[in-house]
Amino acid sequence: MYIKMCDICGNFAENKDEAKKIREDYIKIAINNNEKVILDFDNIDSSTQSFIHALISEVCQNGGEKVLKIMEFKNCNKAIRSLITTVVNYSLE
Amino acid sequence: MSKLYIPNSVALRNFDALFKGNDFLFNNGKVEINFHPNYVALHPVGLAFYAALSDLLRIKGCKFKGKINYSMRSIPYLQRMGLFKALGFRNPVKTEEHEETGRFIPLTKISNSQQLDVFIKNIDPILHTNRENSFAIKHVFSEILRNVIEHSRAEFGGNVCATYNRKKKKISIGISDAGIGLFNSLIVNHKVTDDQDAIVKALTPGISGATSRLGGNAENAGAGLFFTKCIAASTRNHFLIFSGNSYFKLKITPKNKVIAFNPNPMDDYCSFRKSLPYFNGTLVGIDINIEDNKAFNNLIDNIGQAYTQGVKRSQKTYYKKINFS
Repeated sequence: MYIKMCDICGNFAENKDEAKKIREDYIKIAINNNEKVILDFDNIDSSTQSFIHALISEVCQNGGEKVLKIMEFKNCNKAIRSLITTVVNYSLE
Repeated sequence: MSKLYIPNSVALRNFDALFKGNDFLFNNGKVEINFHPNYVALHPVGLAFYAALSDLLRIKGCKFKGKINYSMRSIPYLQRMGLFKALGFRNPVKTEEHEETGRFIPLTKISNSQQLDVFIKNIDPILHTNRENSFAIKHVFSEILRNVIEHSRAEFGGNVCATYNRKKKKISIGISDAGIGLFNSLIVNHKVTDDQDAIVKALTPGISGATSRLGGNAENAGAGLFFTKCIAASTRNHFLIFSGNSYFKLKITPKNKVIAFNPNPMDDYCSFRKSLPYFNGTLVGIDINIEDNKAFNNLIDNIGQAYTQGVKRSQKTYYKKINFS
């Protein structure tokens, strides 16, 4: 499954309602089907910790380390990488 | 008749001026608003505060009247920032309309996610920032205003305003609501003793009003205020949060002191005051001047590490296992 994030969130990804929708409608379904999910952050300048948390924290907590093999984060700039790393690190025990 | 006195100056450094001669009780249905007769200089935190008080007076059904000295020199500034309109008065003087671009965001109401989306999209043209250098500013607006929308239960939504000092490259922000306040928001899921304790918990990473679980739930990490405080700390600026009868103020870290992102706000270089006149809502004020995205990216790394240390039992890092391509 391929998700072009900027088509949903614009170039500043901050709307948690949209993050929740992507998580529920795409990421969880892909993970349940053991299907690879590619989140493409091309053309997204930045985001917020809250947005990235709403996007992936729950699936990391529930699925554990193995979801990192299913999720691919494409075209992330340094800010987005930092936020994803932060959220993954605290979500996985 | 209750009285509200708007003093000569309210800023983050002299925030206590706000309480001079005021109790904010407004229990008898009528309020007289008096301005300092000569000059009123208000940081956005002051403007946002009076906008929230105006919401509170509307909720209580109070009638209010104001006394303004028309020769007061700051009337044009206060008028452009929308203070008189927010207080329900007509603009006292005729002024030339200045384009907002590059200078300020007047008091604006944000009540829902759609309004916040529009507001965030308009920040760059208004503040003369651009997509490349406004990450920190947008991060702060988004985190605080989403808190208002999601947790405050404010009947009239949130109030936000900002000024930009181009010379110092500093943006000053004030955000307020006349909602349930931090104590009432947190008491649902946490043991909270008083307003000061509620502020400490709200600033502690991993504590969210939405759940009793440390680290939050699917939608809330309990990190928004912590990140915002750290963004202010990183550039040695003020950050203030006032709710109920207490406020926390991150003071400007002296240059000879190392900047630290403390999970416990009591460890910060700060001042805490309690037993103040009661404010039925929440007010946040912050100054930031991060225009360098590289600095912001590093900052997010550092804040993220501090957050993780505050929340997580294990310190294992997964960076190498995340599939970036």
